[in-house]
Amino acid sequence: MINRYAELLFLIGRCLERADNYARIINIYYSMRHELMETDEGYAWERLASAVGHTHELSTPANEWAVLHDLTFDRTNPDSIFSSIQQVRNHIRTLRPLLPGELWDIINTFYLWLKEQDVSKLMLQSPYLFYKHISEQLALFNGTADAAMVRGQHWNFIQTGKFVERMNGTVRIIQATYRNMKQDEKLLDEELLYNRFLVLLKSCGGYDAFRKFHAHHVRLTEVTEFLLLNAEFPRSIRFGINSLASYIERNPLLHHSIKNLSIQTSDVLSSIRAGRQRHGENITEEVLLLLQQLQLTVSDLGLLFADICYQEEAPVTVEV
Amino acid sequence: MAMLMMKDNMNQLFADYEHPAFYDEMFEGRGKGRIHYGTMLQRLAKMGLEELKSRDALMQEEMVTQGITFTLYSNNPEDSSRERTIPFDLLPRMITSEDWAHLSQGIQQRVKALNLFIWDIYHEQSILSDGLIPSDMILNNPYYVPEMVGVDVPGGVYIPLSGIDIIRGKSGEYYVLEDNLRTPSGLSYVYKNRALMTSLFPELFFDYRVRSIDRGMNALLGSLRSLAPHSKPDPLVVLLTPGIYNSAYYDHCFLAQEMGIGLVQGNDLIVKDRIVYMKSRQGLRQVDVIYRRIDDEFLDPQVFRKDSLLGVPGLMDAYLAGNVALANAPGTGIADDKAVYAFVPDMIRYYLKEEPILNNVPTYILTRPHEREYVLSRLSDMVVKERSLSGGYGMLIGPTATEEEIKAFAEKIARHPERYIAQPTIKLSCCPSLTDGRVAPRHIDLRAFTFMGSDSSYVVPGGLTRVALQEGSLVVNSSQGGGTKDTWVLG
Repeated sequence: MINRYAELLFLIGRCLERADNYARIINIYYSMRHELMETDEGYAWERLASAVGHTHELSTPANEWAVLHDLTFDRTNPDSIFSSIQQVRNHIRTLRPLLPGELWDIINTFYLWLKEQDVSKLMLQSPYLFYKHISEQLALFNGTADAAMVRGQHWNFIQTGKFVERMNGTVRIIQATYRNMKQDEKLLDEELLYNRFLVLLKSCGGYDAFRKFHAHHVRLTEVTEFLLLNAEFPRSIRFGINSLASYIERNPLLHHSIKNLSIQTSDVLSSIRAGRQRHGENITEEVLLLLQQLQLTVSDLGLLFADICYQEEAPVTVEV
Repeated sequence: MAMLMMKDNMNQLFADYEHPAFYDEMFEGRGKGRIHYGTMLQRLAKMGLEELKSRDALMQEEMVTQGITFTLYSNNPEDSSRERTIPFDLLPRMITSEDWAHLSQGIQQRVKALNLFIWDIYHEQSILSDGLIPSDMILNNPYYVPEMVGVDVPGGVYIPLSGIDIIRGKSGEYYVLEDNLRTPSGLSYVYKNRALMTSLFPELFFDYRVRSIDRGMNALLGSLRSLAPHSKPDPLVVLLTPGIYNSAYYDHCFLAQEMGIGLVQGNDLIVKDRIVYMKSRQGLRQVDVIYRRIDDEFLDPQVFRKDSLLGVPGLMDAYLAGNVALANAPGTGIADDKAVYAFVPDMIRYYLKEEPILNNVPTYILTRPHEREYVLSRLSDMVVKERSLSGGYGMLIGPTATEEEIKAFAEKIARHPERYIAQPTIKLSCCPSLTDGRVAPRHIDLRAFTFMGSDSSYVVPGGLTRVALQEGSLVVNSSQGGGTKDTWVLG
């Protein structure tokens, strides 16, 4: 496969996952709002931006309208939903002969619809329905790809992009949530703490699954363990690592990076458990620092993959 | 200009609104909104009727998409036309924090007393020997389960989940109308109503601090798990449903999914050596707690109705051996009997040595000759209820009944006075509802859900406001055309 194609496929996976992540998190945050913490000045909309991992500068004032615009429609922000879908469309256009024809039809229809939208139209039809529609279109694309794509290198590169982005999203939202919880520590009673964890789980699409593993124990240790180490939940870091292992090609750098990621993931939980023994369930500075390191490792992994797309290697499974 | 437009919208919105002769939740007089509704009235006025109608259409569509339904009973279980979305009224009902503090304390007090009553009835029966309640009313009651005598239920909790129906009288005072202690339904609608409102009507929440209900599911799951025999650390909890043709099947699905517990039917379970197992692909798995949504009489064909296909043979044996917990416990129906209801204030005084915080609706026991005579002489002013029925079935609402209906009920009462109770017709409070494309006052009640554990209880803030959507109707049950609305407790 041409190196350039590998990179485009990798990026298709990343952009699709990013758009899906944005739509889901915005919808949950928008309706539940526990995380946005009502203050006398109104809602802290910038928290929504940090939850999705938005690193671009926000429009000012960062009110509801501006943040929704920046995250969804901003053409100058490469991570916005519009930019992500636009990139997917462009890359699929480049790769059309390699991919099932239906995928182009789906993404192009979706793109043409999205191009005509803006915040006022979004508000008119209800933010909930708008983002739900985005999630449905992405599910349609992913479902069609799942049913029609040959399992081979093309598929593997898309999946690699998807899981790198997914791990990135999961760590980012945990980090943002815990940072806010630490900041609001004194304001959070038992009920508010519960609500924050609930928003976090729902934002990762893991609320139903969490119940099956940890029942009513919606607490720091269990929530972190579930989102980082659960091997069966598709948005956990552990699941991402295992999936990557089955898709990527042998490379010592990657091997090292993934192993490092695995260790750092366990370190976060070890720190929480040790802290719990010492002074109860608290988000410590150490935990925040470990999450930050984890975040950097996942980001580096993404960059490494992008580089590796330009290297020719024999496909083998990496030991984790 | 904007103010003028808002006033026009307000006038248009409430143009046909006939201020009722009853307590109105939103207005204290013609055109004068109650203080806590003020900001919402402004929002609604800004939107106008057309916008409200379009939101309403979205809500109804979403309910169909999500399959938020209930099923009317029919002889033909395959008849899918019996499956309906429960009408949802998008204008929320608000309860002030002061009112809620009063209500939730009263509800907790009541549930605590009722739980103690059930324990007493199946153990010492002191309330009967002390003459507070006629023994006959209890011991010959179809809901009395002799098998439960002397049985100690886990944590002493008979009613982990209860639904207490609350109404408001003409001056806005609160009354308890009914206690639902067997398998109360409707909890899922509380959560779905809130989810629909926050998703499709988010701006209404901008101006208010509405108390969150999210923790309720956790509290219920925690209560259920705490019932596991031998304090098992990771018990297997399941919800036992009669199946998809049950009217509340959606409720069952939703609760099982939200709590992450298995949704099983009778034939998914088996009892061996007095232990209940779930038949799974991994083999038999011991079940520790069953949240059953099946009435007592269908639970176990070896003990109750022999023809029951819904229950599990041997279940009661396993239960009595202490190997499985049932929620709610068998025999709790004794405390939600419509005649026993009349004695709840006495129970509170008897068991808790406290005065009841919430009042009962005056209730006439028709086996008492003077009360029967009084009721029969003014049936057209009374509501008569058959003790063993619920869901709005077997009721006479005097003021709206025909002469034939009144005559038929008089004959029934004369023949079987023990089967009925009567209450004066309470003028249920009204709340504006969007119905038939306009805003009009409709009668409402409130079903408040309480989760009781061995050492604490939790009342879901708000509960399910049920709306009698037919003009002038006092019947709020979904099976009789009632709808629901989101209920906000202000923080």
